[in-house]
Amino acid sequence: MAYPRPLGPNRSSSQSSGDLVVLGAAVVLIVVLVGLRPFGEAFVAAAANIMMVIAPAISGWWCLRSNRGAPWRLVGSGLWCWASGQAILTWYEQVAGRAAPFPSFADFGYLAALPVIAVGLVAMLHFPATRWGRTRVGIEAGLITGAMLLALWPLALGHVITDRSAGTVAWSVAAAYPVANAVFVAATLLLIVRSGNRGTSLRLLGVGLLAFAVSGVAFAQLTRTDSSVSGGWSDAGWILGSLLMGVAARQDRQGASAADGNEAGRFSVVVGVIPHACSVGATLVTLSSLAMGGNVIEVQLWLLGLLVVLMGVNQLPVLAEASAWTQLLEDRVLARTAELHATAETLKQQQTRLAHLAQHDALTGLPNRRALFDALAAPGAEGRIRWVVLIDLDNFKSVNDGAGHAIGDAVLQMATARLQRALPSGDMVARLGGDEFAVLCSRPAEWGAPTEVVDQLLSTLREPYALEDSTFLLDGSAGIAKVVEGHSAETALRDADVAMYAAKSAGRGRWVVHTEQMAAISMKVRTLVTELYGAIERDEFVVYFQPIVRLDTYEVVGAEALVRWQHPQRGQLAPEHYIGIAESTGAILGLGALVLRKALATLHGWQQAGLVDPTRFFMNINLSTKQLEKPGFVEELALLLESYDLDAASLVLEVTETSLLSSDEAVLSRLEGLREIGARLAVDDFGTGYAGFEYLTRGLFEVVKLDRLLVAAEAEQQNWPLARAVIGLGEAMGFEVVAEGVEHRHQADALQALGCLKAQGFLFSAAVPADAFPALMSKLEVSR
Amino acid sequence: MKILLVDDDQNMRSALRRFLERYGHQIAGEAYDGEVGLSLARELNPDVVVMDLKMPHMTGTEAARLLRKSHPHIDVIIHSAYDEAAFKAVATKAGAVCYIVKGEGPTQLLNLLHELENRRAEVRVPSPIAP
Repeated sequence: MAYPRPLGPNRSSSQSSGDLVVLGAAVVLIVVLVGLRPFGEAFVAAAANIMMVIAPAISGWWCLRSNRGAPWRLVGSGLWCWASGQAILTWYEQVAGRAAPFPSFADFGYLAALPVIAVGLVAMLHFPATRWGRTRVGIEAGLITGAMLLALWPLALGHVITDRSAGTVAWSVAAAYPVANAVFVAATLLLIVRSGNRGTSLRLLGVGLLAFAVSGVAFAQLTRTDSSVSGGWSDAGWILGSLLMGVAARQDRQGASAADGNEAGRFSVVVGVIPHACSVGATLVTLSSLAMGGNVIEVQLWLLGLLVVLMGVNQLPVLAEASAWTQLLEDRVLARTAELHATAETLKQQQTRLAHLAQHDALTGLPNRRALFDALAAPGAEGRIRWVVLIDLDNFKSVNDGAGHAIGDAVLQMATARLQRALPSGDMVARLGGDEFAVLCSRPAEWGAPTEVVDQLLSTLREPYALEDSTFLLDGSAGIAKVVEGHSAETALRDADVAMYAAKSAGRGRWVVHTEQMAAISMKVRTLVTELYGAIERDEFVVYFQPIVRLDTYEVVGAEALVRWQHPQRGQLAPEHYIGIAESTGAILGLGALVLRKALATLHGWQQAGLVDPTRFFMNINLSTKQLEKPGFVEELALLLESYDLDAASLVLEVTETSLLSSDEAVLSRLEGLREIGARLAVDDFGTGYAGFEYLTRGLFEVVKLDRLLVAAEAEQQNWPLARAVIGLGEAMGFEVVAEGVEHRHQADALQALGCLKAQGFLFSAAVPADAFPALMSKLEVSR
Repeated sequence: MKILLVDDDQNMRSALRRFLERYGHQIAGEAYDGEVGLSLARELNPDVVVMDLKMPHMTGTEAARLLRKSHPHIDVIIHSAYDEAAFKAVATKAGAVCYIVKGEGPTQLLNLLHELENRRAEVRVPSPIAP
């Protein structure tokens, strides 16, 4: 597919170059002819006359052939009229050998040329779309034309108009020249004012037109003073002017009709004032002429009046527009001011709201943590002590989880209302988040900690929360700490937090006042707890196994799994260093699960390797109270056993007496559950704690482990009164007694003699790693 | 049948209530954990407790075990999302009449309730607490 080939830059530039050559040659010829006047005056006159025919004729041809629309064709026609007139004049002067008569047909050619060109120029104008816009173009045309006529009055027009001596026809023709010139110049200026085209074409056309006009005016002036000659400088304007118009036509690539496409965008202020500048200039010329005693006739005054009226009319819409704009601006300023006032008011309200939100809790409307911090940071009243009380709703999570957040939120709102009611006036209650509240209490120094206030608060929190169809019972734990003036708010809250933690640990629904010792212990505990959790994650805990042997044969019939912490800095740590803290902080859950998993994995390995008899060998694992308090512990253990393909009957789960003190029904259910799945339960450390026999009667326990301290103490007394009693009880009630901490052979023998069947202790072996245990089994039997 | 619903998921409770009521059962009450469920069961003395397994404070199985001791005439159905043989074994040993996996279709629950109703009609289980 072939694309149409656009006009290339070569053609355009060669055309421009050709035009420049023609123009240059004309300029050179004119300068040589007019300046040097070679071969005598007659030759110069003849050459000038011929050039004045040829130049407009060629230019007219260019304009007509330029194919740039009707405006250029009119300009071309005008130039041909001009060339015709000039040809007639030349015929008179060069062929007939006499001056042309006045008026002659040459004058008709000239006079026809100017209005035709002027009409062509007007056709090039951009006319606005609105009626008023077009009217303004007319006013501007009138202003410029009037100004031109006034300006030309002293030069030629006045003289011609006032001199009627040559007869009416001659007067009319003579007068037509300056008038036509004025119209011509006016059209030129109007084109400049109203055309957006600032390209080469318009510049050339403008310069050509002005040269033409200047020559016309100069000729009229020279004629008036009888000093006009053919081949003078005034002729140069016509030659060059007409040539420039032709070149302009050739340069106009867009076409005259499209040359003014964007009037609004290109209309400049300077160009816009041309009509007024012309009018003012002409008025000043006339007035100065009048001031200098010149002869001003009625026509000039009429022209002057017309200009003033036109200028006024031209300004009317501007004034109206200005007035409308002023009104509009005033309205907009008023509207904007009102808008700004409204915005400022809204912003002020929002600021107030934000300030409130920043300091208050959205759900309860109570001051929030930030507000509490601000209050704590402010100095307290003279002679009074401030206390901060942290209150946490126990078991609130179950309300949220079980009944949904909407009910949870409603409970919190009810709790808030109760706290506010129970709080002494002047004291502050804040919500720190979740189910945690803080109370800032100020009271005389001698009154001490506000325990009676906290009692009241906890009591009100304990009342049932009746919502929809459900009723909830909650409790609160509180920590009370003194606000030490000068210390940070964080310190006071941290102290209260430590105390609350102590309250929760001591059993829920109570308060604890913070003490200095508590802080020291708390820091140590926190460090250890952090370390514990890290160690569980890093798998620093290993499980060792201590053999449990039959006292008659020393056959290894079981193993007790015992945890050891391989601390990277402190070496191996025995449980007494951390079990207590793990138990009280909940870290025991992770640790217990770890021991359970490792012990079961080891047992599975031994069973698979045939090292132990699944029906005769029991793995003893210690359970903490926290594990038993965990809902679903039995289910989890059952799942774990299933995953290791182990029978629960291979397990002996050791529970301390302390954990049996709990009257929690759920714990009891879990113990029963463990029995149901087939695990055997043992009472650990029997004889040193809160020994009770009630639980032994429930049939839950099959094993009782005599504590090592009891064994040691009994061994001193020779007759073993307590051990004897327990072993007898075991025989009577059907549970097995296993002695712990047996270190000497005589102890083992004595216990065996009392009827104790099994024992463990250093006499047989300390706890050893899993891989050392199989070797131990055969060794112990041999040592018997 | 007079039924107590125990589940920590409120949506599940609501769905079960709507479903069972549509089939003519009476929902005696609802509870959001095993502990409250146990208390309510003892108080309301329903025919059947439909109990979730994993719940705060006390699992369904743990509650079932305790209920079996104090109120053996109340049937407990464990209704759990866990399809684990180990859990089923623990629940059965704890005294639950059945372990139904959630999502296996409510028809199974409906059939079971119907069966329990028939069984009750045949053998009147003496109740320690008169309704």
